[in-house]
Amino acid sequence: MDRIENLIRGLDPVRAEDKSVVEPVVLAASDPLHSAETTAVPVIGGVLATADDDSGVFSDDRPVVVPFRRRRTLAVVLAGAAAAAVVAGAVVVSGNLGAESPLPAGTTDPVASEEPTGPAQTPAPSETPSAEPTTDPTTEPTTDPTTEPTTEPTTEPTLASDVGCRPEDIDRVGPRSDGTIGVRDDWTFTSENFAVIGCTDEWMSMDLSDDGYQAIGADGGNAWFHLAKRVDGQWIAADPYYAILRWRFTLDDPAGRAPQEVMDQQFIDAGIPVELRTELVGEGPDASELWRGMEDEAMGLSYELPTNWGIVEAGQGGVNLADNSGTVVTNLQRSAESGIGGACSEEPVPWRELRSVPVSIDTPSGPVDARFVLRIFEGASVKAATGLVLATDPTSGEACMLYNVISQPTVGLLSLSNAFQLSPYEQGDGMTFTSVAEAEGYAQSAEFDQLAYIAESIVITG
Amino acid sequence: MQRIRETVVLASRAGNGARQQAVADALLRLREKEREILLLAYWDDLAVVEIAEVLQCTQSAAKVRLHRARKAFAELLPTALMAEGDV
Repeated sequence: MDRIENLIRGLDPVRAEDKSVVEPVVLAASDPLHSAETTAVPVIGGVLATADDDSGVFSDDRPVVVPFRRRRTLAVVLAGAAAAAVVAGAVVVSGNLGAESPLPAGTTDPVASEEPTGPAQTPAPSETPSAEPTTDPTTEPTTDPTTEPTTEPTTEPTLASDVGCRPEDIDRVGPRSDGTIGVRDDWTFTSENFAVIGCTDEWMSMDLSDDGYQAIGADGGNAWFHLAKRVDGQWIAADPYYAILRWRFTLDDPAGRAPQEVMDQQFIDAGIPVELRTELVGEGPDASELWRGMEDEAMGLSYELPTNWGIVEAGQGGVNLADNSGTVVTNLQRSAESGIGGACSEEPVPWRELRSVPVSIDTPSGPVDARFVLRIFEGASVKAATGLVLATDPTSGEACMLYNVISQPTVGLLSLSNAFQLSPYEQGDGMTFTSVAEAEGYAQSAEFDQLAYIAESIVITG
Repeated sequence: MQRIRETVVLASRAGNGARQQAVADALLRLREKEREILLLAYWDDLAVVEIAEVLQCTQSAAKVRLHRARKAFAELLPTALMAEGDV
């Protein structure tokens, strides 16, 4: 058991209580927002059925969450219990807290808090011009309230501040048909088309539904989050902050930035506080959502690949994996038969690993411990190669050639490397760095991390 | 499809020490998906193939997610806690 596993297991209340007696499993009933009832969970094929976290209700039609041998008591509580649990030193397991919430915690609920009144631009009753205003609010007006004022007010009535976050309160400011800049009367926001997904005191973000997009008759694709800013109490939608590209357009950044970085730059360019990013548009895709599963029947394995990477035919066998610029980064190849051979006669050269990431290769016979490494030969220049090796392989030594491959009966011959063979004497294989420091920089790069994840994802299927 | 919003609270045993609190804090600070896969692996003792079934993803994806979650968890833990053993 490793350190992380040990620490997390140590917090397990079931283990802590050393309960050997099987407990009934209790899960909350259907709607977690409105129900605290508990129901027994049926046993299905030796495992227990669990909540269908995609449907919004618990049901029996999704597989497993708690194995039969580890029955535990689960109490499902309302979302508001999370904070209390923290105070109590409890462990909270939550589902999508905040990220997808249309109303992040601590912000104003546009529905609950809004006043059931007409448009916000309607002057409040207190601002209605009165023939004889009085300073005593309890005093009845001395004139008939239905009487039209005989004089025009000398100043514009002050508009009431918009309350909460309602799309209906937004004025779209921009170029009008007459060429002037102002409130566009050809543009209306409705809650039917625009769903509020974020709401703060100063900012409101909305998601335009596809149906709403069709209804509006806009062109260019439904590609944006729509934002409004509260100015002098009124919601205004104006450039440059009105339209922010949705998350899906941040996934394949030519500069290699993470989606969150791309979104932050949009916020900066639009003058929206970056710290409100999560509140307004959510956390964005996490790293696992930027990967896709790959199956290769010929090699008898499956693996994960970044969504913006591709596969290129490899002349030497297997497949070449190319990054979003089309540059081949590594080669993946496998044969079911293990065994490598070959020799070199040059003088051995010292080599060592600059970075090593423990991974496991799943096989039908069980996991095989391995490492994804960056190995270097040090000389006038630094020759280096990434590779997948067994956990028991040496981490340094002297050699005239290195095989960057796993050769093992249950795995077969498996290589994920940019140099199946790396020689300090050959040119064109692996990578060449001008210094160890430069090689260390690569070892800490996002590309190396991605390669390590690819290595970790490999499952031998046949 | 929007996932159900649920919060499951498992009361930990009484008398939590600072170490347990630090571990709990680190778990709480993880993304929900990261926390979920760690608990499936280390509380519920699910193998990767079972985790993949629960999460409805491939084994490869489950492995990568677990790997990432472990890394994220390690980064959130106090150094002193991690120093007692290897990741």
